[in-house]
Amino acid sequence: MRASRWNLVALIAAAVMVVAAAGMLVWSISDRQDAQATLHNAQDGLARESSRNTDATAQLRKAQAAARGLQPPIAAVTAAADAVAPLDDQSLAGVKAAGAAGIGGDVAGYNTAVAQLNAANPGHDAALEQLRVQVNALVIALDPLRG
Amino acid sequence: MATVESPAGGLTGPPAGPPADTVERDSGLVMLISTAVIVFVAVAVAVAAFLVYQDASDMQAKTDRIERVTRQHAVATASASRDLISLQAAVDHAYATLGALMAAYQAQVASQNHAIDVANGAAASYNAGQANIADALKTEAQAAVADAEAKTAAVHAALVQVKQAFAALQQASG
Repeated sequence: MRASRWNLVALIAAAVMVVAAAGMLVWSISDRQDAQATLHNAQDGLARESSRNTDATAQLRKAQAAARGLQPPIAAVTAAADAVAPLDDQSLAGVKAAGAAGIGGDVAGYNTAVAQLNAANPGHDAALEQLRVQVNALVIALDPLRG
Repeated sequence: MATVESPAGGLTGPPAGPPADTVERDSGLVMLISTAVIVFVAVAVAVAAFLVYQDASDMQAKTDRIERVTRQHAVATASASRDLISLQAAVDHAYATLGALMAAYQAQVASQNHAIDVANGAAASYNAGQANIADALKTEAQAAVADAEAKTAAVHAALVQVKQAFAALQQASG
């Protein structure tokens, strides 16, 4: 009689174990499904981000390469501007001399200053024109890279 | 029919089935076997649950790795986008400074021409003996020369801006 009671207790305990194990299994399966869904989302996210990263990097590389290609026109503009700058100062000095002579009634001085200006002007104009051409070329090259 | 005589001398019926302890033993055996089967099933289910849990954990670990890589990509993407925006801003700035330089040159040329015109008028007036007109042009000529100086200074300042913009552009080009 006592052995039978123990058997019953063992049977009930075993049944409880089965129920608990089944509960664990259900919970694990649910957890796995969640993990699988999360994994799929993460994989999709990675694919999207990877694609965006590839695009952004490619765009940047392309723009940087194009910008590095601007070195020759930039150097040309800098050289042209540096060539014009002293002629600007020279021209200004001539204007100041002509102005001073004109104001002072020094007609001869005025004529001399204007003659010097006229002599210098073609060179100044040519240098300015060269700068204008180089700037235009650079502006055209810069245009596709603008934001 | 055979009868069994009881010790007391009375008669009893025939024995009904196996003895009670045999029945109890058989039923106990059945319960024991059932219990063993159920325990076996419970263990099998628990093992299956554990394996599924392990699989879920592996997936979670894989997800974590993927999310880490995704974050790294996102950081790299943001950095590339920022660099591109910086480069475009540098290009825009260079573009604007070049425009400002050429505008400054135009203003300088116009200002110098005006200064020469005024000086020319003053000189011509003196030449014609019209000192009063020349005096009247004096203030205007001084202002024109000052303006020409200012415009030339503006050209030089614009050139400095252009060179700074070029330097920034080169830096942004990587």
